[in-house]
Amino acid sequence: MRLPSGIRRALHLRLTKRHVEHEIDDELAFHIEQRTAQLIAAGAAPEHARAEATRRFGDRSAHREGCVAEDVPAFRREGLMTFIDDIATDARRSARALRRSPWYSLVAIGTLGIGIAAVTAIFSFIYSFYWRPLPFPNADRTLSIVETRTSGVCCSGVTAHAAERIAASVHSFDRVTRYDVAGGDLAVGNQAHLLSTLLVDSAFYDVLGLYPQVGHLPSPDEIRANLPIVAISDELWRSVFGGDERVVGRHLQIGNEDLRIIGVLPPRFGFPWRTDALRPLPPPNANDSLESTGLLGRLKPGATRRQAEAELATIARTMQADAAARSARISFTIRPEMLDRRANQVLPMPSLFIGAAIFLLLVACSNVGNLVLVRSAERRSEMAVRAALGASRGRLVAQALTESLVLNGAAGVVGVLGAVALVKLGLILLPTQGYPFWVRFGLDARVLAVTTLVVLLATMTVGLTPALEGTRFDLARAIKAGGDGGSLSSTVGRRGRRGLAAQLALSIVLFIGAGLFLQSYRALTHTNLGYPAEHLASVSMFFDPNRYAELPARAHVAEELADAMRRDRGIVRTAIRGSSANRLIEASAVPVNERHATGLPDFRIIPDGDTTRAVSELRLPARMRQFVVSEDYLATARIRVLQGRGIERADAAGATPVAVVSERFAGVFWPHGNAIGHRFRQGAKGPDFTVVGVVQDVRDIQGGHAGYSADARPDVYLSYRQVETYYPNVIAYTTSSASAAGAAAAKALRSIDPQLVSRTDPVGGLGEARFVMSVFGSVIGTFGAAGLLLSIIGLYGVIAYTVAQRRREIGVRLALGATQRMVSWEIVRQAMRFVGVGIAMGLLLAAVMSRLLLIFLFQVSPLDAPTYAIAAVLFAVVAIMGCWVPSRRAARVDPMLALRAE
Amino acid sequence: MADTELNIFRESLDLLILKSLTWGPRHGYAIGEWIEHATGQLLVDEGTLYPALHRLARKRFVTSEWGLSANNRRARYYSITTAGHTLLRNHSPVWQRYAEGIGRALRTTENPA
Repeated sequence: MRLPSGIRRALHLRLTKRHVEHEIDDELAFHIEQRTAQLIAAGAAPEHARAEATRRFGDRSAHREGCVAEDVPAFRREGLMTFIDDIATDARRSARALRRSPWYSLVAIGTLGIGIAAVTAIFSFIYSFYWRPLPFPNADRTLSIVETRTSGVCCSGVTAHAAERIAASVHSFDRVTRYDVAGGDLAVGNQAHLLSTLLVDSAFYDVLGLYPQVGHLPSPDEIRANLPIVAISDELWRSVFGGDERVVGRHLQIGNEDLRIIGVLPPRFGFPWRTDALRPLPPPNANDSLESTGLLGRLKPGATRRQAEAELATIARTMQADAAARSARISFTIRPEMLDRRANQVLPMPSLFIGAAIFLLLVACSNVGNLVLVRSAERRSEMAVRAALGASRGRLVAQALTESLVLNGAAGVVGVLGAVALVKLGLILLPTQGYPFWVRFGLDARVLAVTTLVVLLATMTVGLTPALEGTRFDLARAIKAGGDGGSLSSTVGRRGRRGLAAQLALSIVLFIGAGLFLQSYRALTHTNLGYPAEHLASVSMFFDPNRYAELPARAHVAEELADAMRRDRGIVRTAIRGSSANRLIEASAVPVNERHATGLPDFRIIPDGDTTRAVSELRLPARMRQFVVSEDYLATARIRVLQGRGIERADAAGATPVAVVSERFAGVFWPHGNAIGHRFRQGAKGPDFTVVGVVQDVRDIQGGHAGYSADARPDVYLSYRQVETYYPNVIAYTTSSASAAGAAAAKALRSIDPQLVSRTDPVGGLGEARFVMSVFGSVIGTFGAAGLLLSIIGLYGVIAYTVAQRRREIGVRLALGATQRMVSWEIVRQAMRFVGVGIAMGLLLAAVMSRLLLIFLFQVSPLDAPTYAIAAVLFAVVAIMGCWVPSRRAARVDPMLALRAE
Repeated sequence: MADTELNIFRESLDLLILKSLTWGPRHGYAIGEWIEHATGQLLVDEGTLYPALHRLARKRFVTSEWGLSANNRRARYYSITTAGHTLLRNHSPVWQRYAEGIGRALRTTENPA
C-alpha cells in the first residue's frame, strides 16, 4: 500500500532505495502486462502472449538495473535536498508555530535570553580579570616575594639585605630581580601628566622577557652608574614623539630631571600595572635598612613553588639569627605575580557572580524545558498521527529539535545583544582606573564561543529531552486517547515539581542576598557619621619630591589652592588637612617619632609622660588617625567642639604644641575625667602635646573582613602651623558634588602651578560603600527578581498542565457535587506542598550562603530575620497566586463538557 | 564502434521519446507504441525504453508522476519539461541533416574519388 505522494510530501515521509526499486519493478511489470493484453486482444493465446511480451521486452533485469542506476544517485542527491528542505520547512514551521503562540515564544526566548546575556556578561568580566592570558612570556613561573615582620611595618616588598641573600642562595630561582615603582610629572604643553615610572635592575628584562622595540634598555653598566636615562612606553612615544624612530638621544623632562631617551618599550607593556617610563634602579640606601623594593623570582624549569618556599624559610631563619634579638620575626611569602593585587579587590567575589549567572541559566533552561514539555504534550496527537502515517521517530525528534533550535537561535540573538548592553553598562558603572593594565573589558571572542556552547547545550537539554519524551509513546493508545498516550503527564509532573522546588529555593537565596544588600544600604544612609561627609571633598596633589622638596612650599600651594577654591560658587568653605609627618615645624630636624635602635618606630602613645599607661597605636580598639589641620578645618567639616576649644591660628610654631582629640581618644586615655589640660606624646622621645579641646567622634565607613563598619575612631587633630605634613590636602565643603569640586580645584591649580596634578575624592568612605552595595545589590537583586519571575512562570506552566491533565477527574468531582472553590483549593494545596519544600530549602541554603556576603554588609547580620521572613512570605504569596489563577480556570470547567470530551 | 552505434541509437531514442511526449503525458508502454507506429518498425528491445526514460528524468528533460491507466492500473506517466522541449527543438534539425546525410551516402552508387 502506498500513500499518494502529495500526502507523503506533506507529512515529510522520506523515500528509501527499496522504495525506488519497487516502483521501477512496478513500472516494468505494467509494460509487460499491457503488451500481453494487447497481444491477447490481437488473438494470441494467453500463455503464448505472455512469453512473447517478455521476449519483446528484452533483458528485463538489465533494463531494471539501467533504471536503478539512473534513479538511485539522483535519489540520493534528492535525499540530501529533501533533508535540507525538511530542515528549512521545519524551521519555517517552527517559526510559524512560535508566532502562533506569542506568549509561549516571548517567555521562552526572553527567559533563555536573560540567562545567556547574564552568563556572557558575567563571564566577560570574570575573564578580563582572572583568565585572560598575561602578556608576559614567563608569567606562570614569575613569583613575587614579600617580606613580613611581626611588627607589621615591613614591607611592600623585601629589604635590600634580604634581596641580596635571596639572590645569592635560593636555588629554585634561576633569576631574581629587584624593581621599584615611582611617580613623576611630565609637562606637555601646559598640561601635566602624571607618569608611572618603573625602576629596574638588569636582571629584570630576562625575568619578564622584555625587549625594546626601538633603541635599547638600560644596560647593567648604565644601571650600576645610575645614569639619567629613560626608556619610554609605546604610548608616550606615540603621543609625545609621534612614533618617531629618531627619538633615541632626545631628552625628556620628568619632574625637574633631564633624562636622555635610550629606547622605547614594546606596546602594551606595563608592570605591575602601568608603566610610562623605565629607569635604572638606584643602589640601596645604606642608611635605611628598612627601605624595601619589589622582588621577583623566576622559577627554574622543574622547580616548584614549594621548594622555593622552603628555601626562603631557611633564609628567614638565618637572617633572624643574624639580627639576634633586635629584629622581629621575619618570614617570606610568595605569590604569583600579576594575578594578585587589585584584581582581587575589584571583583572580590567572582564565584558569587558566576554562581548567580549559572543558576539563572539553569533556571531559564529548566523553565523552557518545562514549557517545551507541556507544549509537546499538547501536540501529542499530532505527533501520533504523523508517526502512524510513517514518519520515523528520528524525523519527529528532528522537528522538535529544529523547533528548539529556532527558539534558541532567537534567544541567542537576544542574549548576545543583552550581553553587549550589560558589558557597556558595566563599563559605565565600574571604576575605570586602579586595576592592572591588562584588564580590558569587552566581549571576548572566546567568551562568545563559550556562550555559543552554552546555547548549544541549552538547545540539547531543552530540545532533546522533551523531544524524546514526546515521541516515545504507544501509538494505538495515543491516537485513541487523543491525548496522553504515555508516561508524559507523570514525567512532567514529577520533574516539573522537583525542578520548581529547586528553582524557588535558589531564587529565594538570591532574593535574600539582595535583601541583605538593601538593608545594608538603608542602614548606611541612616548612619550618622557625625559630620556631613557627603558635602566634603578632598583634593590631593601629587607633589614631585624634586620640585617640592621643601614642605613649606607644599603648604604654600595648598593655602593658595584653598583660597582660590573658596571663590567657586559651589564651595562654601575650605580648609587644609594632612596626615602628620611626626615632626614639629622649625623645631629640630629630628623626627618626633624617631626609630628605635631595632629599626622599628615607637608606636606608643604615652599620656602624661606615664609609660605604664602607654598604649601602642597598633593596639587601640580602632585605628587611630592623626590629622594635621588648619584652624578652619573643624568648622569646614562641621565637627562640633564638646569641651575646650578647637585649633586656632595662634597655635603656631614656637607656641606650646596643642592637640584637639576625639571623644573616643579621650575615653581611652582619660576615662575618668576631663582630658583638657592633659598631655600626651607619641614615642618616648616625642614632644608633648597638650589637649586643648575634645570634639565629637567622626565615623568613616570602612571595609573589613567582617563587613563595612562605622566605628568611632580615636582621632587627634594637630595644628598645621606646628606639625609638618608631607601631603597637605584641601578639604572643601561643597553644595554640589565632589566632581564639581574637583573641576574647581583643577581650574584653580592651572593658575597656581600648571604642572601639578590633583585628584578629588569624596570624604568618609560613604561613596565607595554605597557604590559597592548598590552595584552588587542591584545585580543580585536583578538576578533574584528574574529568578522569582521565572519560577512563577514555571509554576504557572506546570500547574496549568497538570490541571489540564486532570480535566476529567475535575469534571467528575464537580458532577458529584464539589464546589469550584473546593476544587481549586485542592489544587493549590497540592502545589503548596512542593512550593513549601522549595521555600524551606531556600531559607536553609540562604542561611549557609549569605556568609559569603558578609564583607559587603553594613550593620546587618547575614541571618537577618526580617529579610528572611519577608522573602518567605513574598514567595509564598506569589506562588499561591501563580497556582490560584490556573486552578480557578480549571474549576470553571463544565462537568458535562469535560466528561463528554472523552 | 559498438559505443558509437550505442550513442547514435541512444540519442535518437531520446529524441523520439521527447517527440512522443509533445502531445501530452504518456506512460512508457504508450511511448513505445508511438515510436513503433511513427518509425514504422519495432523497437529491438522494448525494455531499452525504460533506462532511457529514467535517464531523461534524471537530466530533467522529462518528469514523471504516478497516475491511473485507461484500465485503472497504476502507471508512471511521463511529461516533457521546458528543458526537454528546448533539447528537442535544437537537436531535431541536426538529426534530420544527419539522417539525410547518412541516407544519401548509403544510397549513392558512384565513387567520387
